[in-house]
Parts: sequence; structure tokens; C-alpha cells
Amino acid sequence: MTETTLAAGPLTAPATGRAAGLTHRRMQWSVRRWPWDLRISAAVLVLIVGAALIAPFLVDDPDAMNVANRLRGIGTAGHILGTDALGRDMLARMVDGTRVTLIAGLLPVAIATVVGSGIGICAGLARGRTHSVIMRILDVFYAFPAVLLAIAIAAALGSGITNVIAALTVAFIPPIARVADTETLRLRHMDFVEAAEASGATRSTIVVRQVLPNVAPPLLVYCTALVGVSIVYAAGLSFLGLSVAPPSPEWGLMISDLRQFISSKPELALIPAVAILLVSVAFNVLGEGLRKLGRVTR
Amino acid sequence: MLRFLLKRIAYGLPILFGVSILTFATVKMVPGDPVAAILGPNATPQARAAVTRQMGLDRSIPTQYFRWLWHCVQGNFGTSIAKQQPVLPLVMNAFAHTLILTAFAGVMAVAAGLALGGIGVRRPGGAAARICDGLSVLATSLPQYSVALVLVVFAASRTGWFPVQGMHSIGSSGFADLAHHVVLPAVCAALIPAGVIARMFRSALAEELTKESVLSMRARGLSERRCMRHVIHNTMPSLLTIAGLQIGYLLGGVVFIETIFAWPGTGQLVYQAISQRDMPVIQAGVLVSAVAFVVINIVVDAAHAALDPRIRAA
Repeated sequence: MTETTLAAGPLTAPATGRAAGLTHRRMQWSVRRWPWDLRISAAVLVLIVGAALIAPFLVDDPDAMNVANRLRGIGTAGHILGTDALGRDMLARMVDGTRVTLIAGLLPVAIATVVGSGIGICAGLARGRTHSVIMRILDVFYAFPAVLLAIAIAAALGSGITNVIAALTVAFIPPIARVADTETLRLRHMDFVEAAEASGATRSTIVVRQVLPNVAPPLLVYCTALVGVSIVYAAGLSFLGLSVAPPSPEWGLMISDLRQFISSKPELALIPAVAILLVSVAFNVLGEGLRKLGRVTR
Repeated sequence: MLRFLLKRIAYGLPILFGVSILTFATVKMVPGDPVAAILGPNATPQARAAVTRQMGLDRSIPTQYFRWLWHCVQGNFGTSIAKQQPVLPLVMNAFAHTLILTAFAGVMAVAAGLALGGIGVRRPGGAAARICDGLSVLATSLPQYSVALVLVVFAASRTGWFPVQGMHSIGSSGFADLAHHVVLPAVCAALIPAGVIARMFRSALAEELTKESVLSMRARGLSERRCMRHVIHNTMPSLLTIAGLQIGYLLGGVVFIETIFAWPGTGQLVYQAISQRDMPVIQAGVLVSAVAFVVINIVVDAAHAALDPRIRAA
């Protein structure tokens, strides 16, 4: 994270953006500046989210069984992506499962962003002891690799999608809080924040007007990449049997079901595996691209 | 140096303490009555009282915690509910296997990371650099279990190049056999650390190259090779830190890989324990991985300080 991005407050907006009739910040994030990899990943994600939203209109019942027609390969007539061990249509299950997979990936990051940035900004603004106490507590959570922490919590709470979301939220709060804390610490001694302080702005005004708008861009960029991680973990917990209960189509659970047929019909288990891979790569490329966009202006 | 080490250990102790509280708390979160789980619903009140006393559940929560901590420090992690064996040897045995896997993966990750990062910085913007940058972003975003499945299908079950699972073939225990079994899981485990190391190494190199010392070395006519030797030497401390941290993460993060490749490590142990709801084993597995992570962090910091005197002063 470079300083230049965030110093782009009202004081430093260059003339080029104004000339184009855009504010500096709008100019910086404009889609027109997006490189092709950013556009492709955004397009992939829009398609997937779109499919998730209109899944019931796109495909037939994902739970319709037909045991006579089980374990068909890719390209079978009537079942483009084949059928699973109970003869359920893989395409219908994949499209329908998108919703659960996306929710389990997005929600923990969304909640953790709100809570984590709150903790981080408070810690960054508080001085001395409060700051170090908050950071020490976060260090404890840091001592657990995120997957392990999520597994431990989900295993303790029992299986279920709500518990998976809760577990992932807890696992993601510390890293987000740390990013928010670092950014706040850096901002606190910048001229425009000190100017606001000197002119008598209250702490809450400074948080809303000076800190939040400048902490938000790097935080959102970080969280975009985190959504990819979250989707991978959420599907992973479901692969371990800690998430949704069987008939529900969910990508991680489908991998775990189809894994036993890997020697006879390997392509079936690979369909959800590759889907998770695609979504994860798309979110990471998006996050990486946005990070670069935020950094470019000097 | 000794003072730095002591300070670092003093800093690590409260974290270990916090880790133990958190691990203890996860078990307390388990819904349901542990006594009923052991005795079944039809137990007499006398039997219930006896088991409650025996497990120490009649004491206050802090007392229970310190008792549990005291037992853990002595190496007594309790008895596995599913296997009816002491937990400690189970976990230690598994942890040794995870260490083997992590060691192989760590070597691969550092080698690949250095190569990708090094090429990436040579001609920034060039085709090779862009491919390497792309690969390092890709490596960090590949889900381990997806890659594991792809490798199982295409490098093991279809082609027979590598064994599909396990740590040894039946009846053999040589190093060559182990190395043959470890390749695929280690490749999967190495991907994310390799990407992270590559990105870090690349940005450290790029930053180091802009320094005036490099300009002065070039001005004095040092060959590009000797120049690079100084530059790379300066990036080593931070490289060590990031590599150590990544390997620490691996110790606890290989659950999926171990499950798919049936590698008998802590990850697989924890996975089995989850399906059997064997809390003592889950608890011990998580605790051992987290403690190992904290210890690795201390070791890495100490090594960093040994290499870079500026850190010791800070």
C-alpha cells in the first residue's frame, strides 16, 4: 500500500481528473482504466452472481433423482454436465449450488469487514495501552491459521451453514482489523486530519469525514481478495462435512460426494472443483487489479 | 542478541496463554451435555454425579481451565473418545508426518518463489515478467483441494505416475518410496506459499534495486552479477521471515490436502475427529498446530535478528 493513493484527499487532486470532468477519486477507479484481466474477472463474477440470482428460472429441480440414469459423463443428452450418484442433473445442481457457495463466501467477509474495520479504526485512534491491548488480543487469533480456527469453531458449534458463516467471520476479523488499524495510524498524523482536529472537529466527525473515506478504498480492495479466500474456505468446510446437510447442492459437498467415484468418473468431481477454482481466481485477480489501480496515480 | 530473544519469548508467552484459552473455549462452546454423551440418556443420577466429579465439571470454569492447562503442560491431552487411546501419542505421531509434508512443501515453495520473483523483476513489463507475475497471483488463489483433485486424476489415477494416496506403499518404508508419495501433496501445499514468496521477493528486490548503493556499485563498475549478489543478500532477512511464516501457516493449513491424499498427519486426524465428534483430538490437534506456529514465529524472528543487526536494536 503506498501513501500516494490515500493522500488523494481534497488537497492533492491533480488537474487531469478535473479536466475530464470527473473528480480525482472517480477518475482513479473508472472502468475505463481497467486492464483486460480486471474486466474478464469482473465479467466472470457478474455471470456467476447472475446465474445464482436467477437459478430457479434457469434449471430444473436440482434434487430430482433418477437412479436408472446415474453417473453419466459430461455431454450426455439431456444432462450436459452429466449426472451424479443418484442420477441428479449436475448442471442443475451446480447452478443451484452457486447461491449457497456465494452466500457462505460473501457474508462472512461482509460482517467481518464491518466489525473488523470498527475494531481497527478504534484501535488506530486510541493511544497507548488500549491500542496495544486490542492488538495483543488480535495476535492470539493470528496464532491460528485461519482454516484451522474456522474448522475448530465450526466443529465445536456443530455442522450447519450458519455456524460456518460464524466461524469464518471470526477467522477474518483479525486480518481486516489489522489493515484498518495500519491505515488509521498512518492517516492520524496527516495534515488534513490534524487540521480538522485543530479546527475543533469532534472525534466522531473525524472518523466519518476524514478517516472512513480514506480507509475504505484499501480495505475494500483487501476484502475483495478475501472473498475469494472465504469462498474457498466455506466450500472446504462443507467438503469436510461441516456445512449444509446432504440433499442441498453445495459445491464443496458435491466434491466430497463425487470424490469416491474419482477412478471411474473423474470429470464429475472436477466440475465443482474447477468452479470453485474459477471463482477464487476471479476474485483474486479482481482484488489484485483494484490494488494496482489504487496505487498507480502519483 | 540474548536480550532480544528473551524479549521475544516474553512477548510470545501471553499469546500462547491466549491460544490455550481460545482452544479451551471452543470445547466449552460444544452444545449438549458431555456427561450425557458418555453415559447415554438412561444413566442414574448417581452415575452422572460420579462422572461429573471425575471430569471436574462440578468446578468453576476458571478452575476447569487451569486444570486442563496443567494437564496439557504435562503432556496429558486426555483420551480420544473414538479410539479410546491417549491423545498425545496420536497427535505427536500425526504431527511428525505433517512436518515431513511441510518440509518438502517448504523447500518447493521457496525454490519456486525465488524463481518466479527473480524472473519477474529482471525485465519488468516484459513477457517473462508478466507471465511470472500472473503465475504468482494464480498460485495464491488456487484452492488446495481443487488442485489436489486435478492432480489425483491426471498425475495419479489416470497415468499412474504417482501413488494416489498414503505415505508409504504397503510393505516398504524407504526414503525413495516416501519421496514418491510426498510429491503430489507437497506440490499442492507449496502453491500458496510459493505465490506469496514470489510476490514478496519481487517487491523487495525491486525496492532494493532503486537504492543509491546499487547506483554507486554500478558506477564503480561492479559486474551485474556481483551487484545482484549484494542486492539479494539484502533481501534475505525479510525473505526468511515471510517463508517461515508461510511454512508455519502450512502446519495448520494442510487439512484438505491430507484428507484427499490420505496423508496421516494432524489435518487428517482432525478431519476424522470431526466426523466422530471426538473433541479431545480436535482440541489437541488445533492446540499443537497453533503452538507450533507461535514457536516458528519466535524462531524466525530470532533468525531475522541474527542476520540483521538493525532488528536487534529496535
